[in-house]
Amino acid sequence: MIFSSAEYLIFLTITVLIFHLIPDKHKSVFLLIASYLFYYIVNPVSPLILLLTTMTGYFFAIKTVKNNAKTRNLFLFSGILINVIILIVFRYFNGIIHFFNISASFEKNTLISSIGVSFFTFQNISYLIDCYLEKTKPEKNFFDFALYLAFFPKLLQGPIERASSLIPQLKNYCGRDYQTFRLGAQLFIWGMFKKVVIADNLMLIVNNLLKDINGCTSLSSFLLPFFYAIQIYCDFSGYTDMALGSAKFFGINLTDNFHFPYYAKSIQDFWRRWHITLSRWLFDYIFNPLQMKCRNYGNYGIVFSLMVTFLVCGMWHGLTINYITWGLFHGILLSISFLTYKKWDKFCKKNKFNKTVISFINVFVTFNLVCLSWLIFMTKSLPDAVLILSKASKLFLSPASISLGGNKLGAYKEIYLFALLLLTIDFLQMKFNIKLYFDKQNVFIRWFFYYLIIILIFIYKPNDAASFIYFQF
Amino acid sequence: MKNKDFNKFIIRAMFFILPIIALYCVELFILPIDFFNFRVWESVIVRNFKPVLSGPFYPNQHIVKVEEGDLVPHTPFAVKKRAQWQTDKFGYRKNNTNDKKQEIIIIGDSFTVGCGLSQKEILSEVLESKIKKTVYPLATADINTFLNEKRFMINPPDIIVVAAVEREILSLPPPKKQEGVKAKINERLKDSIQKSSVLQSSVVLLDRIIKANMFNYFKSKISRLKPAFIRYPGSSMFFLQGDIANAEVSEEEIKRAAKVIEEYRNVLNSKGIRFIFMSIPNKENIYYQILPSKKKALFLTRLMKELKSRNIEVIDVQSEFEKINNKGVLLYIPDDSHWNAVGVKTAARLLINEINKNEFNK
Repeated sequence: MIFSSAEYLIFLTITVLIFHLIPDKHKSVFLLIASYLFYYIVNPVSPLILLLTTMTGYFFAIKTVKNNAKTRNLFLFSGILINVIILIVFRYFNGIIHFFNISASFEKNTLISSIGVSFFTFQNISYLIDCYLEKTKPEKNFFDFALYLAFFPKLLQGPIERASSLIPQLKNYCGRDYQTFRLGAQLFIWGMFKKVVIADNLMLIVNNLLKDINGCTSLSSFLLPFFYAIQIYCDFSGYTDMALGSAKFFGINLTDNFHFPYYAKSIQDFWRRWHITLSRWLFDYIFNPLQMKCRNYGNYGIVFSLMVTFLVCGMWHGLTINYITWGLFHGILLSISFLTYKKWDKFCKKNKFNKTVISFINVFVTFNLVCLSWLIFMTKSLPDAVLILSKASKLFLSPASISLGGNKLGAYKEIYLFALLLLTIDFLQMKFNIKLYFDKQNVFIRWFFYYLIIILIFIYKPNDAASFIYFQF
Repeated sequence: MKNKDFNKFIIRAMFFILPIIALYCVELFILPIDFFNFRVWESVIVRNFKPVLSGPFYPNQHIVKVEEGDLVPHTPFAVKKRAQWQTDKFGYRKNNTNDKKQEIIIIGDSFTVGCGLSQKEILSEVLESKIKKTVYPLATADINTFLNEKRFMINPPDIIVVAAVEREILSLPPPKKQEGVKAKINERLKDSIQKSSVLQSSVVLLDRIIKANMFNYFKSKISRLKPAFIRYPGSSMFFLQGDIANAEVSEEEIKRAAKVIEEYRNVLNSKGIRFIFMSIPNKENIYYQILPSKKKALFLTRLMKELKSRNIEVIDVQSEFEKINNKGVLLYIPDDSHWNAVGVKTAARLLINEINKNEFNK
């Protein structure tokens, strides 16, 4: 049940209405049932995996606190290990089969592959570690803890919430004022616009080009990583906005996962703005402990910690050569950035370069490096990525290369305009907080823009090819 | 105070969606069900509640409409024709259905449903009028729909005809009884909804709401996406797939398809039901000389040979169509991918001959 579907809208509406009608003391249990029902509809077996993870987290967290140091360590280690095993079996099973080229008779098994498992196992691990380090107390109420993992707006694609921020909100429903609901609705509609209008349409273009890389011209090869960069941003941040918006209808504030990532001034800055909850998790639970262990090795220790952290990051996304290479690529970029940023800063200050120009150069270079990394991320194999890169590199070598050839770049050219508009709005929001200005406008102006967005969502929602012939009007 | 804020939000949200609700009400309660479609099919097909409604179409519908073909609607090439549609209480295209035994059941696709044809012209109606036996069009459906339908377990037919258009034959599913909790829940839901006209109407209404015909109509007018027409110089005939339809099929694929059809025969024979397989050629198969490659499709000829070697009763529609086509008689609707009334009558005649030819001893 994807967030942009009619089924989800009906489910959300009914759940929100019932939630606000029932007494406060029953709200947690109701939300828990609704979340498990949601997950059951997505995949009937997945709730069992979630329940297993929940029971592991609940019992082991209590044990990491109530015992002597040795026993606490044992329970912590066991708890983390069980979560990692759950993750490997239910998320990476198919990837492992393909990675090691194990018998082709293992067909993709939908029972084994479970959406969302990477998110709630990571949440569980962070909860276990936080309890062990006494940053948070183990939750005694099983239903509240279960809801912390299962809360449906964040179940499938995050954000990866910390127990200390989410559990108190689930135990004490407050902040249900009109502005929260209004913000929720705004976020939901805006998220749907990004996902449906921009991301889903760009996906058709990107997939079309990736299906026949040999047939791509230099220009289309050059543009491909940029299209994908916008697609993945709109897809993921759109989904996140819908998740945040959905949560707000219950008075819950989830963590925003994106903060204008394509305006990052360095790769470190990029990771402070992209998939924020994942990068925080990686830095808190892998990089920092590792870096502490390697603190006697100076810069080598930091580089090593970065490489391991981003190897894990790549593997978390998927167990393929491409994802692992992508993770390592970011590890390398971060290492280089870490080793050179002070020198670059000094160099700029020494030569008194214009700050705006420097900012522009930093953003431009970072964006292009990120797009280069998306090239590795989006292709099925490394040779494909290399092929696209080699075609793109021939772009300005001859006049003939500056053509799209037969490559179709989508039926709706307006999608590119919407993508540019989105980046512009992001920039304006970052610099001037234009949302504040928008919220001050009178209701007719605001409603006009809401209707416009809804109409655009409706017009530009891609049809699936199978229904096209029999669904013409 | 907290509930007051939520109430305020709900009231404002309702005002916001009021125009959308008003438009929905106009579509659902004022305009005819087929107002925004160029064919009855799209108006009455179940989109979102297939597991809980008993048939592929909304039940108890009676519509008379001037339709266009599925290949070039809203263009100067479209040929308008008047069609009458009637669906029964189970959601199949049948005039009246009672709980009595259906002697012959035709399991098929849109050809069996009779796209582009009026009620009296569809295969089951033509067959029924000629053979004087009850004929039921279980379409669109596959063998598993039949195997899992309770009413046919209580009153099994004498003969099952599986009628498949050429392009769908390779994707015929193997016979499989639905099991498991989900299947049982769906079965119970289906029964309850089928027995209650209120529930049935509510589910149909919900399906229509999600279908959003009116909004999709406006969307199609605003968007510039149009299907590519496939037509060749010197001909007024339009095609669905063109040359691709007559592509080579490997021996392995033919054997796989034959195996599936043989499994149909085996499972039906084990229930004492006679099985006949009828393959309907693609339009491109019969009119291959219009296509650029002028390549004749051999798939059906090879499949028929394979099926006969496995002692399966088959109807070779292709050979008969070729004979009639050579006489210059049209067998398909020019602006549609489906057969016309002549095609249907030809197939019905072949079926009657086959049914009467071999007496099946139970």
